[in-house]
Amino acid sequence: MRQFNIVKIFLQLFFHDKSSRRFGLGVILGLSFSMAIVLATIGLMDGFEFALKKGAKKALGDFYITSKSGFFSEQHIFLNNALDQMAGLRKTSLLQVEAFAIHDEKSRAVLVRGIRPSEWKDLTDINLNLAAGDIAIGPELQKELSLKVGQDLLLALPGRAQGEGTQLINLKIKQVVNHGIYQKDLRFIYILLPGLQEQLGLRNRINLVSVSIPENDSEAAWDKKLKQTVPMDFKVRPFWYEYTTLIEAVHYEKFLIGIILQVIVVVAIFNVIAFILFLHEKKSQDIFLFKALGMSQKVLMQCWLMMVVFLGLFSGIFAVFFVFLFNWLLTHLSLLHLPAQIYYLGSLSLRLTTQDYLIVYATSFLWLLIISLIALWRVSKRGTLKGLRQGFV
Amino acid sequence: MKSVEIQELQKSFGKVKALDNINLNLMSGTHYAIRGASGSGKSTLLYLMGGMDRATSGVIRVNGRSLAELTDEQLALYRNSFVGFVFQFHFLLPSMSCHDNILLPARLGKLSAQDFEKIRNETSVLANRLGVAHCLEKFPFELSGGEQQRINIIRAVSMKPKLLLCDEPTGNLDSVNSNKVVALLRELAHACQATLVVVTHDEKVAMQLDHQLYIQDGCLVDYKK
Repeated sequence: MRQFNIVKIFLQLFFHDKSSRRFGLGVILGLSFSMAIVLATIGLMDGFEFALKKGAKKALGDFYITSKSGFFSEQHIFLNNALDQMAGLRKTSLLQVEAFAIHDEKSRAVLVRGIRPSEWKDLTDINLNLAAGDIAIGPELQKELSLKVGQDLLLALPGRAQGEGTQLINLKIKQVVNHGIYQKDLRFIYILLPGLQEQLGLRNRINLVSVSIPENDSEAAWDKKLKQTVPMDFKVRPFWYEYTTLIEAVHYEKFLIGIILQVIVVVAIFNVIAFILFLHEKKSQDIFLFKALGMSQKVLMQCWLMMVVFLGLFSGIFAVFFVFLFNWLLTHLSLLHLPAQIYYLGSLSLRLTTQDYLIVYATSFLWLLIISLIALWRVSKRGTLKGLRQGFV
Repeated sequence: MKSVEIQELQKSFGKVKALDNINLNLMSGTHYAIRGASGSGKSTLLYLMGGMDRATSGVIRVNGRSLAELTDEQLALYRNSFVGFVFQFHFLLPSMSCHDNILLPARLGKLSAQDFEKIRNETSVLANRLGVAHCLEKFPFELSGGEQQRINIIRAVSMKPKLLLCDEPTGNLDSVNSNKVVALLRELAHACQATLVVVTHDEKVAMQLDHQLYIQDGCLVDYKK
């Protein structure tokens, strides 16, 4: 209780006058804004990677297997045996071909994917209720070609045999499915696998197997296991494989920007230095009076640290508020939406872990602590008598 | 009984010698005046006795214990509970009411809630006696110079110190009020059974105290009873 009273007196002393309070508030806002900028940038990078991976996983499962020779039999004995050996693994066959979607004198290159809905749902959580002659499209394609659910869409598919011309078929749009990645939402069209095989004359043939591993299992361990198990003429890729370079670039950017943005924190710390110098000049006489009346160096240090904690704590709280504000603006303000054609994702939201907050807070607090302790050391270096005289004369 | 013993005391600020070879004994319950011109070192001597600074060399013993041997924590406790300071410029904190200013040493000290309450009541009684009870809830800037000085004195004696050190307590007062303040300080020191040391350049003030010491260029040059 005594300590609490002393700290209360100390804080009351420091923030008694309007100019100190205003300056203090400015410093807290400056520091919190800087921390929020660093947090938002890290959150943006993590959010981008998370959304990209989530979308890619939704479109492919955890891993996909392709054959070096293109199409292969759905009943490929070696592949099926290899995959069936691995407990916990779920799989589904896909046939994926390029085509053109044509509507109202507009066309768009698409990827038609033949799937088995129940297996597909099991792997990706995408629920497709398709019957023969039905298709599901992405929202970007729907927008691009001005399509509606229930309408027919004309697809130009490859011919049944080499040299045979393009086949034009009309299919009914049964539903719209969202992957969260612009390209997937623009290009993917789902159809029942047997129907597509039949249409293309590829009886029992597929060109892709998508697999899903048990939740919480190590992706790296399964990657190794799958690569060792599947026959040599097959390739195993993780679901984010096509974005590898992009994700790596994001990692580098995150690291570099994190370092560069420390400059913003340092700038805010200059404000803190100015504030501490201001307090030092304005309040040193009062500090020395405290010492004259019986405050020990230890208690002075405790009070000083409490003031730093107070600054750090309020800056941290305000920083969280700013982060929420940035996040809201990113998702709601069209001005801040991304060109999806370039960045794959239309809009971003921040994704921050406790670790991110802790790292940013700890770094900022460390700066704060070092600078304030230097100021305290300078105050302590002066004797009480000298301090009182300098302060009051 | 000796309250303060000073032996071969020296204090330098860089190359400047503020005090040089001071030897002095102060008896408990006795009242002393330290006189000297500005810059002679009288305030430095007062603050060294009060444990606000460390001597360059020599010994200051208070009740037989050397101040140089005290840790920072012990020295803080000494300043808080053994010494009372009356400053020339009052040094009242503008952010606190006068009563809070008075209770500042009690808040900084390691007192029980009961003792703290006792000090609160005693200081209220004293404020009433000195005619500043109406000032207790006011802030220092709302008070006249005389009222501020009385609040300053109440704060100095609030912890019932055994050594009451006053630095030019009448520096800003006319002769009538100076006499009143000195009489008050003597009375309060007597009530606390404290040794009173008043730094002053005013001969009339010094004459009212039991002993007069004269300092010149950091050296003790005269001692009168």
